[in-house]
Amino acid sequence: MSDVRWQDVFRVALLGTERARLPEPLPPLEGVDGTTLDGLLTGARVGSSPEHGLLAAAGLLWQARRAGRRVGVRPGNAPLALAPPEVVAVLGPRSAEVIDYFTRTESPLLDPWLDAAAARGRVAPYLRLCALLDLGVVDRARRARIFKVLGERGRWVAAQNPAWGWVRAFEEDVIAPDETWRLGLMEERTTVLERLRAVDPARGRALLQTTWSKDGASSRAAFIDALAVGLSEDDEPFLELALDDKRSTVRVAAARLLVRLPASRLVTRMKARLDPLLSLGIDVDAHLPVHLRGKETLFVALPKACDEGMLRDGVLPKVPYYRDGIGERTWWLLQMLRAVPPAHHVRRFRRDSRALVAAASGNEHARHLLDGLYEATVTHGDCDMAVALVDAMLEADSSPASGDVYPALGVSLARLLPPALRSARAQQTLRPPLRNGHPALPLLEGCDFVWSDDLAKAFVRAIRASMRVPVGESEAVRSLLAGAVLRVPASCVDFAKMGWPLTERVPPWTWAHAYDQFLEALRYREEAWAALDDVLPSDDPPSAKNHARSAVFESEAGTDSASMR
Amino acid sequence: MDELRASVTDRRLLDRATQISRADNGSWHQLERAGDLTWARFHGTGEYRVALDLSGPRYRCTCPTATQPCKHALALHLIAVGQPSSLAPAAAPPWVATALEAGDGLAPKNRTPKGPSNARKTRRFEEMDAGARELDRWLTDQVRTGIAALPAHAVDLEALAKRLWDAKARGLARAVTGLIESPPAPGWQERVVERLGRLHLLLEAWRRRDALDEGLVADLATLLGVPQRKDDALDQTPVEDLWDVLGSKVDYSDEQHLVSMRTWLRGRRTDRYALIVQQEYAHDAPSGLPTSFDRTLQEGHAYEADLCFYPSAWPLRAEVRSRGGRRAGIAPPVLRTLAAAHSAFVDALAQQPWLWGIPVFVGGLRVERRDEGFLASDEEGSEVAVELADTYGWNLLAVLGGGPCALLCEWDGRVLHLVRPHSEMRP
Repeated sequence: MSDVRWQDVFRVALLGTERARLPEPLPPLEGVDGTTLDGLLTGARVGSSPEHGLLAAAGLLWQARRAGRRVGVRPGNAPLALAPPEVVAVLGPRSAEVIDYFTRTESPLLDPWLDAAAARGRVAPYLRLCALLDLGVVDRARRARIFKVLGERGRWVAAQNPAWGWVRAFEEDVIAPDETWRLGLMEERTTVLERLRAVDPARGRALLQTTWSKDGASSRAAFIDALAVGLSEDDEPFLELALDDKRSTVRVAAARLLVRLPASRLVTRMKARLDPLLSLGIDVDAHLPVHLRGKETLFVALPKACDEGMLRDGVLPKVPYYRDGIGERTWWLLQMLRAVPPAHHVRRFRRDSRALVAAASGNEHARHLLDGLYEATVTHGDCDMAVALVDAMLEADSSPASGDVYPALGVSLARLLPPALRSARAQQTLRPPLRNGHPALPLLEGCDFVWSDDLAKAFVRAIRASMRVPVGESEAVRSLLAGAVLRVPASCVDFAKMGWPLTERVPPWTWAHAYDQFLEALRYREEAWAALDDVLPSDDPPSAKNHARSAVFESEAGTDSASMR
Repeated sequence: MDELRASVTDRRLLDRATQISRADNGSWHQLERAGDLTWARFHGTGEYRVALDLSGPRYRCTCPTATQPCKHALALHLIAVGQPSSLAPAAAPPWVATALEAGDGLAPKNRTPKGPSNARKTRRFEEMDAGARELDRWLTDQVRTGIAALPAHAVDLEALAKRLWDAKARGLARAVTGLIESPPAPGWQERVVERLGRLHLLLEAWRRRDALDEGLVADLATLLGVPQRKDDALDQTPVEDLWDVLGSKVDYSDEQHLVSMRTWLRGRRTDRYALIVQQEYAHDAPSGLPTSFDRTLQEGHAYEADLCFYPSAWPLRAEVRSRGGRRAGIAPPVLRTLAAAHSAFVDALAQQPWLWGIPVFVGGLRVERRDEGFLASDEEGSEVAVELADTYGWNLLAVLGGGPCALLCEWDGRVLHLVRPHSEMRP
C-alpha cells in the first residue's frame, strides 16, 4: 500500500517503539477527506502509551484500508470474448456419467466410445471438458479422438489454459502450422508435426528441416520419432543424413525409422554386415542332443567388433540393463538381426520361413537368433515368418522336451497373423487353466476385432474353468478379461451371463469378482452407447446450463454421486 | 434428542467427548440404561458418576469442571445415541434420580431464564478479562521490541494461546495461533501488524463494553470465545419474511468426522441475509449428510419463515423458528455491481467492525481466468479476484462459456470466496 501513514505505522511496528516513534501528527492524506479518520487516530493516541497508540493506529488504518478499498475498474482490458455457439449437439448428463465412469475405472471402452461420439458429431458434456482436456495432457495417443469431441466450448476453454496447449497445436490449421512450429513449446511442435505428417508427409519433413540446425538433441530425437507418421522411402535421404548427428539419441531414432524402410541404405549395410556371419549347414557335432544331430542348422559367427560404421547406423555398443545376461557381441548381432527383413534370409538361403525357424532353433545361439528373428519379424511386419514363428512356439509349448529356446509370444507378433488364422490359433490354444504366460493370452489380445460366437463362447468357458488359478498368477488373464469387453459380440452377452455365479463354491481368494466386473462392463457397454442419443435440446440453452451448473456445485460439495447407478 | 449436541458449539469439547465415548481401555463401568435414563461410572482423573436423561435432556456428572455440559455427559450422550447396544438394561440405582434432580440440566424449560445465566455470564466475563489483560500486555511487548523476530517466538505464542484457552478466551487463543502463517509467506510482517491492530481494537472495545450496545457486546463475547447458544437466538424477536434459499455448502473435516452445513438465505421483504449453521459428528457415515440435519430448506426455493437471529450488531447467523409453505424459484439478485457489494460490506463494517466478510449474492458477473487466478467482472467493468479451487474454476468456466451468471459469495473487501454459482438465475 502506498498510504504514507500506514508505512509509518508499519515501520515503527517492525523496529519497535523502543527505537522509533510515530510522527506527531501523522502526515495528512492527499485528495481525500480524512477528517474523521484523523480525529479517531488522534483520539486513540492522546493519553495512551506509545505502544497502545501504535496498536490503535494499526487497527484503525487496517479498518480504513479494507473499507476504503476501491473495487478496481478493469484497466483497459477487453472483456473476455464469449464462447462461440456450438454447431453440433452437446451430449447430455448421462454421457457425463459415462465419461466420469470410464476415466475413473480406466476403462478400455473410453476410446471406442469417444470415437462413436465423434462419428455421430457430438460434443462432450461441458462439465467433462476439463477432465478430457487433462487426459489429453498426459495421454498423447488420445489427443486426436478427444479433440474431435471438444466442440467450440472445449476449444474456447482450452485456449485460456497454457496446460492445455496441445489443443492449440491441433486447432492450428494444418495449412498454416509455421507459427506454432517456430514459436510453440516442444509439446505443441511435436503435435503440429505429427498432424502435418498425417496429411502431407513431405511438407512435414520440409517444416522439420527449416529449423533442424537450431533444434537441440532431445527435440531432434522427438521430431524424428514424429516422422514415424507417414513414413516412406522419401524420408530416407533426410534420415540417412541424421545418422551423421554426433548425439547417439538422434542416431538411434533415425536408425529405428530407417530399419523400417527395406530399401534404405542402412538396411543394405546391415545385410552386408550380417550375411558373412550367418551360414546354413548340417551340424554333425557329437555333443549335440540326439534330436538336433544331423539336422540343418543356422550357424552364427559373432561379430568381432562394433566399428564406426555400426555406431553410425545406431548400433548401441553397450548392453542395456534390460538385456542383462547376454554378451556384448551377441548384443551387436541381435541389433543387426533386428534391422534385416526376415524375407532377406528366406531369399538368400532359398528356404521357406518354417525351415529357417527350425534351422535357427537347432543352434547353440538359438535363443538369441530366434530373439532377433522375432524382433525383425515384428519390425518388418513379415506375416509369413510370423506364422512360422507362432506355430513353432505353440508346438514347442505343447512338447517341452524340445527345449526352451523360443522367446515368449507377444501381442505384436500375434497381430501379424491373418485375422482368421489368429482366431483359429487362439481358439486352439484356449485350454484352461488360463494363467500368466499362457500362449492363448497374447493371441486373444491380438484378436482386436469383434470375436466370432465360437471364439467368444470358448473364451467364456475357459475363463470360468480357470477361477481356481491363484490371484497372483492371473494378472494377465484379468487384464485380458477387461479388454474382452470390447470383443465379445452382443449375441454372446447372454451366454456370458448364463450360469453365473457358479454354483460350485469358489474359494474367496480367487478372482471371481473380475468376472463380475466383466459382466457389469458388458451391460454398461450397452448403456454407454445408448447415452450417445441423449443430447441437450439446442433451442433451450438455459435449462441445459442449469443442469450443468448445479452439477458443478454437486461435485464441489463432495456429494457427487457419479457412480454408475 | 440431539438437542444436547446441537447446543454445544465448541468443537474441541465435542472432540474430547468423542474420544472419551470411544475409550476402550476399561474407563467406563456400569454403562446401563432404563428407558430414557442412562448412567455410568467413568474412570478419568478420578472416578465420576454420570447420569443422563435423554428426554430432557438433563444430565449430571460429578466431575469438577465448570463447563456444562461436561465432556463426560456429552460422551455418554454420544454413546447412548450412537451405540445404544453397549448400554445394558438395568434398574436405575437411586443416585441417578437424585443426581438428575440436583443437576441443572440443559433444557430451557428447566432453567430459570435470566438470573443464574447472568451470574454465570459475569463469572465467565471476569475470567476472560484476565485473558484479555494478559494478551494486552503481550501486544504491548511486541510493538515495544518490534515484530521482526516474531516467527522465532512460536513457542511463546503457543504457550500464550494455551493460557488464553485456559482463561476461556478461546477466540483470542485462536487469533493468537493464527497470528503468524506457517511458514511465513512474503509480506507476513504487514499482515501481522494488521492483525495486532485488530486484536488491540478488540481488547479496547471489550474493556469499554459497558458503554456499547448489547448486540456489539454479544459479538465481542463471541469473538473472545463465548460459544453462541441456540437459546440466545430463540429468545430474540423472530423476523418474518419470504426467505430465498441461495445456496448451501457442506464441509467435511476428515479427522474428526465433523460435518457442517451452512445455508445462506435472503429475505425478500427485509433484504437481509441469514446464515443457518448445522453441525454434527458423523461417526458411521463419512459420506453423505447426517440424518439429523434439517434439509427441508431447498436451494432455489423460497420459504415463508420466522427466523431468530443470534444477538449481534450485524445479525447474520440465525435459527429457523417456524417455517411455512414453499414457493418455487427465488428472486433475482438485488446487487448488480461489485461496487454495490463492497458498499454493503462497508455498511456492515460500520455496524460490526470485526466482521471477516459478508455474504453477497451478485448478478451479472462474468468469470474468467487471468494469469494465475480467476476473476469476476461486473457490467461496469470492475473486477475482483475470485478464490476457488483450480479444477472447480475451470469447470465453471467451461460451463459458463464466458457468459454472465449470479454468484453467491463471501466478500471480505479483497477477494470473492465463491460459495456457489447459481443454477436458477439467468441475469
